[in-house]
Amino acid sequence: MKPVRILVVDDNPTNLKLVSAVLEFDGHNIFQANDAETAQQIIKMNRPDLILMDIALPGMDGLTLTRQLKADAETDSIVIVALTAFAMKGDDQKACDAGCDGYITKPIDTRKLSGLVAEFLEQNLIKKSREDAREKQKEGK
Amino acid sequence: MISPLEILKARILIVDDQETNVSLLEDMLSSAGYVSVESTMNPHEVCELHRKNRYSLILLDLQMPGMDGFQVLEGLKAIEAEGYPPVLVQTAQPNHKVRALKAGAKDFISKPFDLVEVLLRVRNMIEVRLLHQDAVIRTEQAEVRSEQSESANLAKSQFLANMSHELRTPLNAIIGFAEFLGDGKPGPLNPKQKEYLGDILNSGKHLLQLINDVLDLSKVEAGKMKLNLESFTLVQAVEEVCAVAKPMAQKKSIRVTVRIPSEINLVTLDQQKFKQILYNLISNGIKFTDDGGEVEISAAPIERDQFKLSVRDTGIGIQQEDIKRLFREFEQLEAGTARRYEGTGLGLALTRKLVELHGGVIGVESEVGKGSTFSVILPFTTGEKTT
Ligand SMILES: Nc1ncnc2c1ncn2[C@@H]1O[C@H](COP(=O)(O)OP(=O)(O)OP(=O)(O)O)[C@@H](O)[C@H]1O
Ligand SMILES: [Mg+2]
Repeated sequence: MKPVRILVVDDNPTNLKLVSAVLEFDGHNIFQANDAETAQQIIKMNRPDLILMDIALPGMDGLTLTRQLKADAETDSIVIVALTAFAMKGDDQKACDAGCDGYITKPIDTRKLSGLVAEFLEQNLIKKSREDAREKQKEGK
Repeated sequence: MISPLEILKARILIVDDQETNVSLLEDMLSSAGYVSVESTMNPHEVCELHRKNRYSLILLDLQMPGMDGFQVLEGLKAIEAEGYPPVLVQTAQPNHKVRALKAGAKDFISKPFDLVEVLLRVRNMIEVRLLHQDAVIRTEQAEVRSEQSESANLAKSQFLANMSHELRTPLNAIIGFAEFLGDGKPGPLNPKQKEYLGDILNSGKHLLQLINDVLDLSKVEAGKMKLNLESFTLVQAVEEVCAVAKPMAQKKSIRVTVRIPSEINLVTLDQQKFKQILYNLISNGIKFTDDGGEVEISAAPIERDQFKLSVRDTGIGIQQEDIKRLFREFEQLEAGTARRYEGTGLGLALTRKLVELHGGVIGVESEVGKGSTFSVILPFTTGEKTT
């Protein structure tokens, strides 16, 4: 799969490192942030294609940041995948409500992470091409 | 028990409008050794006096001018919250006796007084009254104690739940990195390195399983375990669990078979917890069966709304007297130094809780040296409920 820019947001440094290491191995360009504020700065400077977003963050939480990004035309097309704790029932629903394109439950499975990320990117491509087609149709009329 | 001295010290009130009666009773009681005898000739003040002094016995005359004994009785009943007015009525009219007992008096003495009868009835009444008060106090204390231990228990479960959650985060990192390294992604490994990383990984996963079990148990105990009900095909779920257990069985050349009749199709349970139940039973079956043995999973409907799922093995079996210990936390039958089998003894404790959460029951039949059959009876459709 074609390498993309991925921003990983997680306040646990070891988790951050692990997720980054696994995705880096697949050849992606990885950016790291340990809180939402740092993530915002990185996004401004270097717009990523996909964000892996931990929900529980100190300061602004991951869902609030997601809502902001999805409400902004500059950033609303970034694929956002929430990292939710398996034990926390209902977090997946909250993630979807906030506008996440999907979620991955923690603990992450290093053998599946790459595949999941690739899937989300692909889904997004399909979604986008459909939207583009629709746009064109409208213009044609 | 109530001592004779306590009985003699009990507070007694005599209520009678006739002075001769009052002094007669007073004499009788004091000669018998009672030391706290009071009296009144005014029925209107009886309730007030009792409210203040809480007598152990009130000797109440029924016929008094102005306010008769029955009215006093009503007033006393209103004061005694537990509904126990300690009233012994004195009456000359036989038809009043039953009426007074019905109205709540505990006993009666007939006029004219018979010394022996009066003293016996007085003593009995006081004894019962004191025993009653004793029981009330003990019940209150027991309630307080059980409330205290309940909240302590809840705090413990809460602590365990939080603790387990905290433990899992670093553990998941250990497992994740070991897996990543072991797969050789950051760089090639020599066989020894690969083996040791495999050991780290396996130990980490074992520890994670333990923590998850403890977390689950404490969640059930704290009443926080919720069922996530869904309809699914029983056979399919069973097959999926078997697939997970397969490597373990293959290592010991144990044949695992599934026999589920087609009449059992959809069930509505918490699928993940159902699988956990089944996995615990199957993995025990494999673990406690020698190489080359057999484990069979079968199901049968029971009545209209329940089914029985059994996991039979041809393993070491369980002694009859050990069976009731099986489902307790940390119980392993071969405890101590000579343990041949790995494990912690949480599996069945948790399994039972999960079964009961679904409104089911779990049981076992076993013969030493021949094998065991663990069975759970579950409803086809578990009702919406949280425990
Ligand atoms: N199928 C079986 N045959 C014989 N003994 C059994 C069987 N299943 C359970 N036992 C006995 O019951 C004990 C408790 O079982 P349980 O599953 O709770 O613990 P465990 O398997 O030892 O540890 P864990 O499941 O926590 O890893 C076991 O240690 C074993 O002695
Ligand atoms: Mg077990």
